[in-house]
Amino acid sequence: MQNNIELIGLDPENFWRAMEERRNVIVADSAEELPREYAMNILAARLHPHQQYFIISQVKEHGPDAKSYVLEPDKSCGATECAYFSAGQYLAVYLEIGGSRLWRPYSICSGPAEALQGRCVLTVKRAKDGFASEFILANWQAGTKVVTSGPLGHFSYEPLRDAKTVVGLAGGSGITPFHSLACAIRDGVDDFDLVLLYGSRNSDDILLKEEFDAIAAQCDRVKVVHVLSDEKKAGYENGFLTAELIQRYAPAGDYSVFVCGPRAMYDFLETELPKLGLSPRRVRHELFGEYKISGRESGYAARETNAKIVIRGEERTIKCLPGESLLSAMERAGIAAPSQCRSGECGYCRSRLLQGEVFVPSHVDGRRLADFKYGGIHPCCSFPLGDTAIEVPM
Amino acid sequence: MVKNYDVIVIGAGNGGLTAAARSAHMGMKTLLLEKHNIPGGCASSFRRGRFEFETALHELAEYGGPEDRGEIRRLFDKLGLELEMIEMKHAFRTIVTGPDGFDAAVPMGMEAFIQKMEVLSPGSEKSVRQCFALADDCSNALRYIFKNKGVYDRDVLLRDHSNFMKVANTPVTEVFEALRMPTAARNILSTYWSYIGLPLTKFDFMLYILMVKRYIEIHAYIPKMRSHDITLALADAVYRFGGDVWYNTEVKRILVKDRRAYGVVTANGEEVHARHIISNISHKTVFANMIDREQIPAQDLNLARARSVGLSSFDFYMGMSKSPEELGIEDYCIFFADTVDTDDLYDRFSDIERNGRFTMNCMNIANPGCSPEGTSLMWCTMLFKGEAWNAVKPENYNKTKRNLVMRVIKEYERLTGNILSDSIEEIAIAAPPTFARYIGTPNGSIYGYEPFLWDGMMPRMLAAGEENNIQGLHFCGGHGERLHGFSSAYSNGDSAARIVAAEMKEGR
Repeated sequence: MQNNIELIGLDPENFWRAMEERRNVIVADSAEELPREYAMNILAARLHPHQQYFIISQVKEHGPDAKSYVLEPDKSCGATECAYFSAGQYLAVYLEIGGSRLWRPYSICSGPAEALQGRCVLTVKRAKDGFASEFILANWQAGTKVVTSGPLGHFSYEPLRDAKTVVGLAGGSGITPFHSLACAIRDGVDDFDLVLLYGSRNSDDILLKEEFDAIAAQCDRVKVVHVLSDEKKAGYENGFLTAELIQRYAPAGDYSVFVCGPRAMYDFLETELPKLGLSPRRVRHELFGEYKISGRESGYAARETNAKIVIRGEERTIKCLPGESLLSAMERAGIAAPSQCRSGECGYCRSRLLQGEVFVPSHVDGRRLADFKYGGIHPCCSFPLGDTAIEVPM
Repeated sequence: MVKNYDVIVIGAGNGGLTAAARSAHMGMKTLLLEKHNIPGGCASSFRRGRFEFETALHELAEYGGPEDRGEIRRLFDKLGLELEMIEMKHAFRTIVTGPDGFDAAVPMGMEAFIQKMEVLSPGSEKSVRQCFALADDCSNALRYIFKNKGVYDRDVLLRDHSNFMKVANTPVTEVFEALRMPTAARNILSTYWSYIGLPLTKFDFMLYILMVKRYIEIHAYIPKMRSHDITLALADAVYRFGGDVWYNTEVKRILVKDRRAYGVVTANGEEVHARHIISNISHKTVFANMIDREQIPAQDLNLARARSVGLSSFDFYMGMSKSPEELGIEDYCIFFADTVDTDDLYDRFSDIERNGRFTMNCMNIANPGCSPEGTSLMWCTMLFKGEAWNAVKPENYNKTKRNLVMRVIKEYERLTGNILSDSIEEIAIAAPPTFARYIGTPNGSIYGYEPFLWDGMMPRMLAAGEENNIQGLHFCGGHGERLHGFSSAYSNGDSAARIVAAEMKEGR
């Protein structure tokens, strides 16, 4: 029995009206085509292309150990634009080196405004034992085709979060995202003051010096201080990026610190930055970068292991060398496994651990809580502790 | 050699995951294909700095306690999912400004809810009780209709279920009026409308009141480790029951011959065959891009054309460098609106600058320990028509998003007195293009199709037998019969799998 409720003015026959309307819709033959695509999906594809196809139009040398490559859309692949990005973002670059197939993240060196002109610049500096940088410096030239990801990463200025002044701490090739940020300030894209403390070994070693001099000359919101560890020279600071040095150049009031450089610099700053007494929200680090594991890491026993790789039900077993991440082992075996940041953070390489155990260094452990329950791992920062089996999504 | 399955599920959103898990559970050889590198669609999480954010789930309806299991908990139990779920103690708090504005908080639990409504809107008890009684009448009528696989007698309906016939397919506002409900109670009781996203003048009363009742009576829950946990548990169930899951695998074509679907083609050209295909992708996309036009029955195509793409969303996620106590936050969720007029609010979903409705959540209130000591995890949601963002270009996208965030935070601070703007440690902003990027729906829609009366729950259910005329092709997800939202999408996935199982049994 239904409830006794007075429903003033409602007619039960009403119920069928919606059904009739639906029937009318279905029989009404319309010539209108279903849209094949929608504005938001088009915008999403422009902002976040899965892949970008470029061709190198120009190469600029910076001494013997670094070059800048100007990338333009490769029209022969149908590319028409360079995805707009936030200053400080990176591109993952696809490389085939010998039998290896891999993706490497490189910060975009140019500013976002240039992307609207259809070009962006990657600056590559020779890294110690740098597998990818050696290859790029030796092989890339005008006319080389380059496949990259869309713009990625979060090392950008965010006015909702960051102070009006950023003290940038850069070391070595870690200067490139700051160059992009400086361009964005100069071009009116980003609205903040940048005080950049850039550590190099000696004055010959400074990357992009002329470029920064030019920006600083045009724009008084960008200030660059060169800090030389191995040379004393007038007009340059000498030593390391100490708390004392930072305080000397930081503004009196609120400021944010952005850090991008080699691991030695991160390690050094781990004791220096706390001395500044900043809130955690005022300190931001760029990606850690390729994690070089040492035998000293607790819990990690370096030895050669076997890794069974499962892709769509097909299996093959590869060798994982001592100190090698599962991602690197796959790449060396010619498996073009998905990856982007290579720093444990983005999760794009996420795979499923089926057997065995892996060691994940705590400061590059970007796994989500639930991943621990179901064997979700990031192979870029997972080091096998014995024989393993993983399922790779590709 | 072409691989062969009983069932291929396209898309690992809430619907697709459930469809795949249930198909495998019922013994069918199942393959789940997903374009993205992880499962879940909207149901996910992401990390920034010290925080892991929930992407979409505000509260899961129809879950219920261990003694009083709702439909979704029963479904998850059947699949053997092991989840840590947290019971929601409070239904909602709503702050509406403008004429007839109010600030009201209501508890979970039917009796407590009705009593509180009476306090907030004196004289409302009778009509609020009647609303829930009507929900019971509707449930009974639905039981009658579906007892016999959708075969029903119109005269019996009219004789025994006239209340149902009066309020189903009738706008919420007309039923409130018929019950002479006091204005204040109407406005408070309307709060959940944004979970479906239609103004109350167009919103089927039956659907609405069943939804409210499910939240209030059965108690909503949230997963401790974000909806990523439910997602991975469902994906794990697919594996446990012997199914396969391929990520980073986009399906380009659904193969149909003589009105019968028999397989799919992936982006890298691989063909995989199955007797049944369950699509978590909407009819609109499937018919426009994935099936040869001559294979699509005219009436199916007409229906797909006529349906309108559901709402998209704008969300910002904030990791705060202060605890909820330091921020002054006491509520898990507050619904904000600048008018009680849902038509007006809905119209302004098409205007970035004038959108007047948002919800603000602080996860720590319901899930203490979800972020490090001395911090809190917040997120804000606003509904939008995807088209509202049409004029946005890549180069002004960030600025547009930020301006909107600033406006909303300012409004939140003004209305609550809690200051957020000076303690944001991490912030991520998602807009319709973000949803388009990650879930690939038309215009980044998160809500299936707009459930106008003709495309509401009853019409979708009663007409289901005459629609979907391609044999072996089934649909699930937010555009299914139960409509959108987490619990509905799970149910839709379950029923798609059950239909396939029944057809397989009949040899179809």
